[in-house]
Amino acid sequence: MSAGPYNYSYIFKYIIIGDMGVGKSCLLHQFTEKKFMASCPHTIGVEFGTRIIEVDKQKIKLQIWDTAGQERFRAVTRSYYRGAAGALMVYDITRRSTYNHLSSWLTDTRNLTNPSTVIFLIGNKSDLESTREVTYEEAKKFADENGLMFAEASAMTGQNVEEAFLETARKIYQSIQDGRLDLNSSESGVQHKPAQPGRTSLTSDAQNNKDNCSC
Amino acid sequence: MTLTVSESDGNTLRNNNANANNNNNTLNSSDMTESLPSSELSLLAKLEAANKLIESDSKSLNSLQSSAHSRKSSDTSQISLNSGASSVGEEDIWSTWASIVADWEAGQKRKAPTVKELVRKGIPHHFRAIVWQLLCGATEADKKQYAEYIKATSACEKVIRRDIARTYPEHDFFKEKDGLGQEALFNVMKAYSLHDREVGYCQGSGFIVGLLLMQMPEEDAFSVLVQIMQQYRMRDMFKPSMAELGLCMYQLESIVAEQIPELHLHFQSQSFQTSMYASSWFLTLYTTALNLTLSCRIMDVFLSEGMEFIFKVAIALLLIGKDTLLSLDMEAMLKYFQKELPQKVENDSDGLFNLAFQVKINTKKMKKMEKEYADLRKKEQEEMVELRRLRNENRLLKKRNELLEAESAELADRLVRGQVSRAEEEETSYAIQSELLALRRVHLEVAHQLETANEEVRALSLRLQENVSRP
Repeated sequence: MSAGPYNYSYIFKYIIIGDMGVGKSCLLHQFTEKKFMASCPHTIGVEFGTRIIEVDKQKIKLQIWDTAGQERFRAVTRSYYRGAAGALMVYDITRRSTYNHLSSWLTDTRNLTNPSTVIFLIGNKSDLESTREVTYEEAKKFADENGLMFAEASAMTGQNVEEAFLETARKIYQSIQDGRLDLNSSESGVQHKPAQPGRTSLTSDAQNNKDNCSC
Repeated sequence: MTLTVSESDGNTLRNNNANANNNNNTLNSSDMTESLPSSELSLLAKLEAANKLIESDSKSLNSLQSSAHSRKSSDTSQISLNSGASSVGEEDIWSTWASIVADWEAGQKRKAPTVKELVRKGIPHHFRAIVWQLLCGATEADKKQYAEYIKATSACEKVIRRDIARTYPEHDFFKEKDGLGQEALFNVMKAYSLHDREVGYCQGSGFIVGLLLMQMPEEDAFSVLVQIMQQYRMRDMFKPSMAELGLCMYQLESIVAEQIPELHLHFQSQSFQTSMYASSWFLTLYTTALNLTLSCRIMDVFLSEGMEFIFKVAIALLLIGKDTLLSLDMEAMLKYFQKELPQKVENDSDGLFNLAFQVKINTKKMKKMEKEYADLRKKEQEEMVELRRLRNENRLLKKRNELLEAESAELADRLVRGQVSRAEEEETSYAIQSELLALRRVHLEVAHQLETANEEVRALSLRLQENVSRP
């Protein structure tokens, strides 16, 4: 539709974190490619993916950094926390140890991101109900106590994957609308990409007309 | 010397997938070797070379070994052979390598210019297993130790297992769950975690081990891994602080700034950090970035020339991609590094190597950067300490602030209450005053009435006196 340099109006930066083998790369792949990657080499350092989504009729590009899970790689991934608008913190519902480490991941996230960064907790592998080690209720309580958004998801079936990424974006967008998120700060993790001059008025007019019609 | 024979045995045996017999046979052959005079040994090496020629002629390249590996892996042998065969005949190359291997004297050959030049042309596939061991100085002691390690248990086993199926997951040799490849990979990783407890297991190292296992049996791969870790900076790369990786990123960035300044500026303007594209190059020695053919050839030269060559390949890759990269934004650059650039160099591997061989790395400057980086890190750490201190202080101040706020709220409350009671008192006093005023008025009135009454009394008593005095 748009012939301008950008066909989206915002860029949101995300980071995916969590223990080794909880399915961070698979969640990213499911979200960007809409399919499960059965054989995925383990991530070395950081990897990257993008997808354009829509929130409130605004096109938003998500720039997602996927990180290596091993503890020592935090030295490498640390610089990617800075300037993340959203952090997806992942554990594996079939491995309690990955859940127990969440508080350490959370401390890192709180220390290295800014207060407006939206943190979404994902309990991955929800398709493996028979080997579950962490109940929904327990994780939900943890999320509530720490002010995190939360869902159980499955990178395998795709269940709730889309929702987790989109809900995070909605919350970030809301912060922008409320003025709680400073777009001018380089650490906000959000970039505004104004459309071409002229194009702006056109699209907003069109939007208004559309709104009027629907009324 | 022993290596020559045991290696070839290892190779043949692996072809038969008879891993269990491997150790026995290796031992037998080394026993045999020890009893042989050196003239016979070199003859044996030549025989071996001839044997390998025949093998290749009869297309025995399609042996179990290469069919067990992916197509990429069998490409390896062909391409490296071709590159060797282009200038000199294949036979010559092979007999040259056979004689190099036969009279190898560790420590001397690695530095010998002829060997260096030959390695740069690519080591023929069949010689890789032995030459890699010779180049890095793999020891028999480590191989012996390996047998002990695999019997022991390591604290890292669980973590290692987690990544086994995720190392070369598409490669035929490694993709089968709990297959030979995965078991071998696990064994070597476990053995190393026991050998070097400080490093233990680090993600990324599995790809290097996998590449070794595509060429040689487990204990040989282990002995090469030990050298790669200890002698080639890789151990520091994988240590828990991963400080060496940070240093390599810093060094690479400085070299880019010096040798390809316009690209460096472009990267800076796009906030494109060196670690975004180069961390896996250094951590896995390109095995996760380029195909196996190239990875093997890079390993050839790496073992002969060291970490410097990893930098040279990095600069060569950047030079090849430069024009395209300059026109791309951060995101597009990342994708270019993931896909197009590897494809481009895989189609012209000689181009990549020739360019890399031309890159100059100034050792003095590298040392200087090492110092700079150490200072930088020290400063960074101090800043971290400072940051932590400030954060702590901030937390305390916040707490104090909260207390003060509570206190001030209480005072404000008291003030309000005081004001209210004062207002109430004022009101009471006003009421009393007005009552007083009213009473005064009443008092005055009463006094006035009293006076009038008194006057009246006086007047009446006067009239009474008058009436009494009048008869």
